[in-house]
Amino acid sequence: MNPRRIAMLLMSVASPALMGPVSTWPALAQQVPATAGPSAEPVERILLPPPIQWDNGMLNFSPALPQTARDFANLTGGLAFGMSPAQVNALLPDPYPGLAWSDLPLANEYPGEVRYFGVTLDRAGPLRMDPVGCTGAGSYLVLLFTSNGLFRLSYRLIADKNCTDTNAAAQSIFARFVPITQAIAMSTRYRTGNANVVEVTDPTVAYMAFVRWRRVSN
Amino acid sequence: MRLSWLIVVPWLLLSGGVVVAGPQAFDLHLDVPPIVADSKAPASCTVTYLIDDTANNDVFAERMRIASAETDTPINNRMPCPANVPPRVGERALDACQSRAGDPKQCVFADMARGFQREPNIDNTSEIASRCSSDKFSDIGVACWMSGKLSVCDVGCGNSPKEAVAQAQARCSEKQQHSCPVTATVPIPGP
Repeated sequence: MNPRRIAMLLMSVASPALMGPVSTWPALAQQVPATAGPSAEPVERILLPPPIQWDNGMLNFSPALPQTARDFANLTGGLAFGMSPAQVNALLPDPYPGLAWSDLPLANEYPGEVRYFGVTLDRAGPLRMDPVGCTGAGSYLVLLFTSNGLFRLSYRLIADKNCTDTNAAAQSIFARFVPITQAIAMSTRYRTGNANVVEVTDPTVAYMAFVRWRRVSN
Repeated sequence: MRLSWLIVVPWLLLSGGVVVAGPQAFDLHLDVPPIVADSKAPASCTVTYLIDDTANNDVFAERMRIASAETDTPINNRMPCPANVPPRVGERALDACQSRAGDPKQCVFADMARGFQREPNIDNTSEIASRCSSDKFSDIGVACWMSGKLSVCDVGCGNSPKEAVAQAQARCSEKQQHSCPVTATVPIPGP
């Protein structure tokens, strides 16, 4: 399938305002193989936020480990908040040809002018984060931009008949971002409809962190 | 005499000034010495809390490193931890979950009271039992049973991952009157 057509299809399902049922893009769904089912091992994953250093009186605290945007870049294959859509697109293993800010659709749920494009998880390269467990064939990553550049990654893992629960996969993606301090990349996780969502937001636009994706159809 | 002073004193002042005002060697070779970790130094105090986001069963291990007092001395190569940890430290541990959760109210301490599944809120959890200190233990563990899609858990401390899980399972079985097969553990100071 033409990459531009794939981009357009993803854009059409990524926005709540424009979103149709997942079955409107069966061709894409076939391209995303379901990964292995949930682990049979009854062991919970423990997530590790960065440690905190307290003074001896336990009155004041600060981050115990210095972190910079480089830690985020190392995790994401070179990504940085503020990158233009073209720069982010160039990091993907199969970039969309001719992708430009003015061509991107608006994400109407956000204040101001926010535009986005989406990519299926299997085409996300290092941003895929190699989740454990099944992801659902219709799962994808949305990259959101203001005129100042990239400000959010939104992983949307949608259950289907072959993957009835994407919680483990979402948790494993989330686990990769939790060790990054919220001062560098604000990671959040929530559920909407039959989708598990992991979002990673630029803390300089923290007010955007409270805007949530709402899945309006199952 | 007075005339000679008038000549000598300005000469001394000027000549000194010239010397001081000469080109400075800015590269003083004061290189920052490399930071060398002392592998034999006693481990500093870490108090680790387990916090649960009940919305999706995420368990966070929030590690609080607490500076030692000058008078503290290590015991078994571990620096002592405070006997009493104020509630604000636990509240900060909760914040690690609340700042990342879809609904902050879903974040609770991971050591839960019996019947938690009926009233899954923070009032039915124990802050004190949800933490382990590095001066006494090396590992913290959690053991849970599934009430539908909700993990109902308790916490244990040990000096090995196996011991921490065993303690958590024993506590969970006793408090919850259930077997608690879902387990996990992490080192208290972190990986």
